Amino acid sequence: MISSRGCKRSFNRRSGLTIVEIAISAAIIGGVGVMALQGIAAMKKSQLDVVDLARAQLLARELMDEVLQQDFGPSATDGDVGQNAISRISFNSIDDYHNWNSEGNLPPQLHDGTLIDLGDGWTRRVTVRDLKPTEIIAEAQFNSKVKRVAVFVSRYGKELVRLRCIRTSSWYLTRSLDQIDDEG
Amino acid sequence: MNRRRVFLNRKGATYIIVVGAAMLIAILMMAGLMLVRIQRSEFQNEADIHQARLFAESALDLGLHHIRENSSTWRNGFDFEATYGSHPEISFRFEDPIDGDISDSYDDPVVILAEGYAGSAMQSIRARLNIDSVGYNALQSDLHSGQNILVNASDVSLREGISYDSSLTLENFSTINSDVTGQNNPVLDKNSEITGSITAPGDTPKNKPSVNGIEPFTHYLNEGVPIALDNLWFSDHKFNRILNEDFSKGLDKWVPVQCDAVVEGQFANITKRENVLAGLTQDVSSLVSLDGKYQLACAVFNPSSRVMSGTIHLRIESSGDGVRFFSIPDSACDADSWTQLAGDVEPVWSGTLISATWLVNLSDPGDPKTSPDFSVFQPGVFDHTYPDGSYVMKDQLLSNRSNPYGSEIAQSLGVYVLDTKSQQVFIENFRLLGTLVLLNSHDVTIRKSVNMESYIYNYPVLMASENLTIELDGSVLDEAVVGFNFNPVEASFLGASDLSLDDSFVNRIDGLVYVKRQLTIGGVLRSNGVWLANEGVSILSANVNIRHRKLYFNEPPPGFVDYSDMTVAPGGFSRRTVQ
Repeated sequence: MISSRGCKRSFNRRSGLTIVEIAISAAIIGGVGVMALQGIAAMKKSQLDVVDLARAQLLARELMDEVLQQDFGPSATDGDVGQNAISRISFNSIDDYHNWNSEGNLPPQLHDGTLIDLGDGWTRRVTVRDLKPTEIIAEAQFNSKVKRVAVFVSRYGKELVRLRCIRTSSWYLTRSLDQIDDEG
Repeated sequence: MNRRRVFLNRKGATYIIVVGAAMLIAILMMAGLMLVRIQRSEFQNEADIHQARLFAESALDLGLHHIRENSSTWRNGFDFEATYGSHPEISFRFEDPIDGDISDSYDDPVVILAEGYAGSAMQSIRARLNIDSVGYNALQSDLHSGQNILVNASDVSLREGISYDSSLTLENFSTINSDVTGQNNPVLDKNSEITGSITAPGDTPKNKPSVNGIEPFTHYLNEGVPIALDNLWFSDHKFNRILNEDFSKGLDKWVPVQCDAVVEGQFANITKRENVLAGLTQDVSSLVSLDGKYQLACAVFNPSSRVMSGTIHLRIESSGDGVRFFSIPDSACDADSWTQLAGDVEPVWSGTLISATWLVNLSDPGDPKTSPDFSVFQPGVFDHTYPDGSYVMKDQLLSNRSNPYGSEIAQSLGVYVLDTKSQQVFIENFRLLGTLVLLNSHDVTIRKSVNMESYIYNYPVLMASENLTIELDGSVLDEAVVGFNFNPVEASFLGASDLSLDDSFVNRIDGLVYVKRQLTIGGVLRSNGVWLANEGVSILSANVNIRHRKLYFNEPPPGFVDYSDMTVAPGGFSRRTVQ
């Protein structure tokens, strides 16, 4: 009795983790592991998206600043100098940027052609549109043109950033204000 | 009991460990995802701020553009807001940092409040601009004609020069002592000369107000107080200015001097005259002016049986000359009958006029010492100084604090508008401290002595919608002669004011004079300013000296701005991130 009681006590201690318990635990851990991996993957993807958005924003700002620093120029429809050109070195008025598209998967470039090393798949394009006076201020009569500039940045065909700005022939004064602001 | 307790303890610990580990992993994962989400949100906010800043700059640009493109109306003011969908994108509005009203002055600076919106971000730009206007380049000359200039028997001295858009002709011993710039070479006769340089064709035609537009006048017509033509002195040659001329009020206003006078019906009988100058008199001091021309008239009845000699006197007593008589020619007055006496006199005196007296005299040519009785009917004084039907502004002060005409409402800027309705108008012995706008000025002459300058430092002093003739005589504007105080407290001259009549003022017109059509100058003209005529200028038998003021080109008054630009006020630019 003693022996048999002792054998039974020993058997009960070793069988504290049953096969069922192991199976359930493994299932839980497995499920959680799969979810964790999916979460990590999503997190990684989001991080990459944020990085892309940040880069796209930088590219958009760089291009918008470049466009806004040019002369006002004639009507946007006349600005055919640089349409579809990869290099923008010859651009000297904002009309030159009308319908400009960086095309393909070439790396982005600065105005002078310097490469911006941000990876492949970037596309930048610009539209410059003349606005009718009534689109701006119903009460006003503008003799000269008012233009709306839009810069689009995409990666692998997905539009990431769009910046818009209005510019008039009085821009030089605004620019002088900016200079004062910068100096100040 | 012990076995059961051990079994239960082991089973629970395993679940707790497993589930706890899973929860920890899940929490870490969720924290990571939330961190990325926050990063994305922060990035989006930054992107919105940048876009909002671009929109704010766009709003500022549009505001500036609106000012430049609507130079004459932008001060009417409006708030602009462009929306995208249901959300505003850009907006701007104007504010006057001086008095809050941008429409009350062309010179007030303006603050543009420009705002841009994107997502939850709002950016604001505040820019203060000072207005920097440049005048028409015709204002760079002392005297400019939009067409031809004729100088006849005149001497013209200018500081900056004379300019014309068509031709310049000098004749009959005329001289221009200044540079000349015109479209064509000047034409001189052998006795005339130009001492300065000649530039032809020069930088002409000059920019100047449009002859077909009303722009130069718009501001002043809006600001000015009208003076009705009816409030000016009117020259009616048939209007008898003597009082109680029909004796309907007995001898009221009449004074028998050394005689007896009795009214009988519409005439007065004069008897018992003590001497030849004794008779019925009336003081007409208020009716006569120096250099005036007056018709004296009446009918006299000679009751005697002999032909008498009749005349009418204007007795002038002045501080300078004492007593002088100005009489119409003697007329023979038949016996026992009425005789009409009439004639013109042009009284002059020096110093201050003390009195002017009308009196009629009848004498016996055969016995000059006798003083016969007579009767008087329809005595009269008719002012013939000015052409019949003309209007006169004289012996007055018109300033920002005094307006003697009509409603007598003074305009704070000294701007007054007189519609002459194409009638003949004379302005003389006059001080103007303000701006006088003459409408329909087909026949307006400024003559004798005047002292004119604008109250607002760069405003025009004279503006004529048609023609203007200047015929000043070069003599000073003398208070004692005119009998009027031109520098009372409300209109000091060079800081001096008083209540006396012992001051005199230089005879000159200082400031900007604009004539839309023909300008004619005669006599002696002294001026510090700019004279601009859209059409021709005739200088006839004149001595002209004009000293140019650059003020009107550098700081043009309303209506004379060729173009306006804006300069940024130091420290007047600021950005603000609201969200």
